[in-house]
Amino acid sequence: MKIEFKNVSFKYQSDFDVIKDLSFVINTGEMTSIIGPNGSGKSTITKLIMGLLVPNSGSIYINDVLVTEENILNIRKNMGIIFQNPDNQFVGVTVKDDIAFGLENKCIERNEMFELINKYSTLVRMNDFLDSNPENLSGGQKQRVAIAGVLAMETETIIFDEATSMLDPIGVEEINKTLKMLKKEASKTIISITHNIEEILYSDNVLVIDDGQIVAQGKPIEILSNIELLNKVGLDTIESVKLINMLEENNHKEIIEELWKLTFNM
Amino acid sequence: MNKMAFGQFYNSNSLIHKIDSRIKIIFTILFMISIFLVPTNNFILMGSLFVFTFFIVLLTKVPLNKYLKSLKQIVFLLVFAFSFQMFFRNEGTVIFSYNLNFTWINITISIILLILYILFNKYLPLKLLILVLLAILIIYILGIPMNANVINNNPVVIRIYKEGIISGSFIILRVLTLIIFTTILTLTTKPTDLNNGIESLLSPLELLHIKTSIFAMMISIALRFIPTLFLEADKILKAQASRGVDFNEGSLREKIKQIISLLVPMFIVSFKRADELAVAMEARGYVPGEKRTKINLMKLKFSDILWLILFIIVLVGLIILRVLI
Ligand SMILES: Nc1ncnc2c1ncn2[C@@H]1O[C@H](COP(=O)(O)OP(=O)(O)O)[C@@H](O)[C@H]1O
Ligand SMILES: [Mg+2]
Repeated sequence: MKIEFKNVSFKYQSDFDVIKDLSFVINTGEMTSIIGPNGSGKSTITKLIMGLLVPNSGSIYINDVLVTEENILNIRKNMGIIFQNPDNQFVGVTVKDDIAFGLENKCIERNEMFELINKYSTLVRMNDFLDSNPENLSGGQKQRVAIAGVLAMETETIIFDEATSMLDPIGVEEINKTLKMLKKEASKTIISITHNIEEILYSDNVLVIDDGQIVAQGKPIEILSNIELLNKVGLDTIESVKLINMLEENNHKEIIEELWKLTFNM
Repeated sequence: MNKMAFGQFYNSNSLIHKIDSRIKIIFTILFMISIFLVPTNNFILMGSLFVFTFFIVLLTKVPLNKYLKSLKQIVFLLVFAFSFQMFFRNEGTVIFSYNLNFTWINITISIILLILYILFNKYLPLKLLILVLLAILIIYILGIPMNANVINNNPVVIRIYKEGIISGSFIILRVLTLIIFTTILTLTTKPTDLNNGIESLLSPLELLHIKTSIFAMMISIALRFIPTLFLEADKILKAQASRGVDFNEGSLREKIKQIISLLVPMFIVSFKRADELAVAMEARGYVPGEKRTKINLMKLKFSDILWLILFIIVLVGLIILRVLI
């Protein structure tokens, strides 16, 4: 699915624009990471893509078709999003009901629903929990259910909005695996908002957002090796950036070069 | 508070658990109507319905103390209804009468007893039992005729009529049967099934362009989030307890302050949740009132129909009896 923003601006009830004259293109089958400090507008961008928010000016094209109020419901059927908080997107009373929720909305036949639920709950290894209630699941498990719920809808595009930020390292690792598998085998268009270095390295493109604007765009290695840029937009929270900053302070140039080579297998 | 779940569903594999939730809802309503069709003070009929209810209770394979638990909540109501019938009836055959003398001696002794009770309340074992004994003792003391400075010239006479006891008992039997029967429904039906049943039963209203599916979605979301909100409240309470707030002690004013300190964060959290949930639902293609398929299909079994017929027979039988009597 090709996603194109043309001079999009957006503001909430307040006076100032949260998204400022933003233009970019995401091509079919690509995986794009969006990085940027808290409050820079990343979540707002994903909601604009999903048509959950409408731009104040500018236009959004999906597969070269201008998104309007009339066609958004149909376009949205081809997109899915996983949010940050696993609790607030769990609609069903049980895991099975929750995965079914999107399928019910798509008016999918009951038999087919069961097949899809089986297939995707197995994929995220939640097939033994189909009758469990969300209160009895861990955050990572709930997040995997959310992923299964979106995967089961078999959309062309999947957006991850900091889907791993509330999980423990094991949970993050599991979701990363699923993501890699999706990219490799399902050739979906994936957009991931993340500060996880592994995920960023795995993507085809990186967009760096600051204050509602794109400040840099490129291959992961180009972006990640631009320490100045990352420091400027306050992304020194990324682990490797921290390490490099520390080494640089002590003038360990050679070590840094070696580290970069190791990290990126150059 | 961890195990707090909405409703009181008790999982078991009984005959009653397997009945279609719609049928259970319908026959509960039919049975409630039947209960109210029993002519007043007809103990034989009411007793039969009670025994019938008890028989179904045994079929549910739910431990009896689960039923007792739900009855515990209405003990006060029962006592109140019974006393009301007993004391406020003033015609018929007197089976018992009692004079209450409000002279200053009776009153002083009673008050001293009360004060003693309040003073030593903290050290007493079996408080409730002692309170009941105290009440009986005070009634007894007030019953002793004293030749003293009279506050009220004539003793107040309390008369208990046979009819009062009879109708009091009848009402208790009626309410007990009613409560136990509705408890059967909530104990043997999963909240989701109950919700789906209600939705399915209301669905003819869709023909009148009333969006019952939205209503059902609201109930379903409530069912989903009530346990979460309880957990949240628990968390906030613990956080505040760790900051030294004690929810059991303190004056009324402090208590109100403490409750507000719980409610405000609860509201903020709930609104944030509701907001994010609404977005998540929309993102997954939910459009309120739009046609959607359902994963939880309900299918009537032959045995369900038999159950329904059984309750229709009970109801029709009572209607015929009412016409005849
Ligand atoms: N529902 C909302 N109403 C008003 N302002 C909002 C809302 N959501 C986000 N904002 C504001 O918009 C800006 C961008 O937020 P967001 O897109 O969530 O950033 P990010 O996801 O990069 O952290 C922030 O300043 C935030 O306070
Ligand atoms: Mg965000």
